[in-house]
Amino acid sequence: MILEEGQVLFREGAPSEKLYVIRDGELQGTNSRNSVVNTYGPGVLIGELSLLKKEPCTETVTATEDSELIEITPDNLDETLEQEPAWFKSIITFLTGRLQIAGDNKRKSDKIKALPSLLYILDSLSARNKTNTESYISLSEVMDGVENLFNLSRDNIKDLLKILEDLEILKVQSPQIQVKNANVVHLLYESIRYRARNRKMPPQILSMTEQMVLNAVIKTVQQSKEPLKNGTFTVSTESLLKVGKRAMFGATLTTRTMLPLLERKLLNASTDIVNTSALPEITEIPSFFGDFDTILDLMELNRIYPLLDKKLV
Amino acid sequence: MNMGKQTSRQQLIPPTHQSVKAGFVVYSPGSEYRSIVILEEGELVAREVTPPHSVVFTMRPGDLVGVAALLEREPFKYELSASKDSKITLVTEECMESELKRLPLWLLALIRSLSAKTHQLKRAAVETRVQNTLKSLAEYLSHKPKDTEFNLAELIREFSFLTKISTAIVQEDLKSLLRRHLIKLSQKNGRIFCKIVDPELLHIFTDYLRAQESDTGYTPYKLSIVQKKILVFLSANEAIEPKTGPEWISFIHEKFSDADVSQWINLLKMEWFIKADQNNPDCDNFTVNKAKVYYFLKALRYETNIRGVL
Repeated sequence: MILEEGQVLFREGAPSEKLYVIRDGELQGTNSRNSVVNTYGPGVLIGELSLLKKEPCTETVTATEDSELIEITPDNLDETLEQEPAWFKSIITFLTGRLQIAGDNKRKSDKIKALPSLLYILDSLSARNKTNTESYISLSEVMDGVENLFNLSRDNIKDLLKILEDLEILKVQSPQIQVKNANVVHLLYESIRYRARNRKMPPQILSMTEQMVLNAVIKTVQQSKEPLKNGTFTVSTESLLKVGKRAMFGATLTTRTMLPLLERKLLNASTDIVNTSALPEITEIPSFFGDFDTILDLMELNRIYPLLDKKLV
Repeated sequence: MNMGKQTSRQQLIPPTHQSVKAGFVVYSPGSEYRSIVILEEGELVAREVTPPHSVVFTMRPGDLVGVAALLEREPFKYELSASKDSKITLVTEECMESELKRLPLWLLALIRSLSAKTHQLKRAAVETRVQNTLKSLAEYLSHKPKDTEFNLAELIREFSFLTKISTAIVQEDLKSLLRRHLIKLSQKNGRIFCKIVDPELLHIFTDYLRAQESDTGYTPYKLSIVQKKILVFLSANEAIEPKTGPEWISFIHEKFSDADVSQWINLLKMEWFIKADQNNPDCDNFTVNKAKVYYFLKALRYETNIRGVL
């Protein structure tokens, strides 16, 4: 088959089931997902998965000079394989499947590995444009930033943004992105970074009991008529125990269950707890206080964190 | 390159068929012999060679292993044994070689291509995606605040976590930024600290590198003399009232006789002017986009730093 300079062999996304072997000349392949131009010369094969799996063309291939190609059709393949032993077909099937799996894994791993870069850029830009916790940032600035930093295609960046949108972290309203809570983006980035660096659960990720306690605290604050003082809440232990009974699904609120949160200063007791080996009864502590936004942000992180892995994989 | 079918087909060395009892070790990683194992009947299990010898996968009839080991010399690290009485086919190296010699060249090339592309994808999955590491580093640092001293080792660690770029390459790129005076390094108590001179300059540098990659040239360095004069004029005059397009054209033409309508279009393309009311699509008035004007000015002022010709 002869292809003249400028002639298109096939277009991206078009159905194809043929394999081409370049005998002479040069062709170039481009696709809409990235700016990379692939050059194909003599001896190179184009369309392996089109022939073997009837996959549509992944790029538009154009002859950049007069070229000669050998066209292999599915009939040619069947005819040849009929003459080979049965085990040989299994090997071809195995190699094809393996290439497909490697391609899928590569696409998945690119997204997983690019997420910290996207969060880094979002964190930086949203901190710069923050009004309270919400912020509006330029979509193109985010795209350019991630492209420069990680070299991820724009389509893949959009896919990642969609995942974050599904998790209600942000909303893409082109030409802007509304980051719903810049603090949560920061916490999420730092948690992922901590996990990668230390190979253990980040300290921001709470146990189920800790989450239940904080949930009870949040509900108590919301039900209380006491206003926040510079973002700090105070809840009486009596009210907390009442709400805790309903909010903690049968678990009991004790000083022991509160201790990890007290040690991390997420909650503070109104009376000092000096000896942690002989803890006072919870009823002996009149009230608890803490920063309400910090707790809300942390709970939001704990909602998102376990869902993120599922969404990415 | 002859891609056609060979006429004289050579003798095929047949594969070996074996019946094995449960417990029989079909392959162990220490073995010198490589072969593809195809399970015809029964069941095989692949186990870790180290305690607790966990089962990694189970093979059912029709499954095969050892293709990568035979064709690509990739090590097969598990012990393969029969968990039930089984019938297997072993395609040895000699058998595969004789088969490959019989194949038409295009099919041989297809097998090699499938193998090479898989290998390439697997390797790419663990390597960095970044091609221009200097641009990536400049982008990363452009998000750090100015005049803060960062522990250099920490910065490198975070950047490598984000991009998977090796420390050796990062160090080379840091030298390149240092040479351009885009960062400053200092030493205290045996630790090296890094200070960002101006994050916007790093941002300008990434734009410059991006433009170089696309062969379009970096717009601030393609300005004509009159455009440079207009730029300086716009930056020096803080309080010019918003005007309509035609008003701006005559205003600019009055100051710079070389500037005409086409120049106005160029200035709009460079975003030196924006709609006075961004939220009103019917707004006719344009105002000077100070941020863009200052960006161009800074790029020109630090041209030698950006180009690295200090």
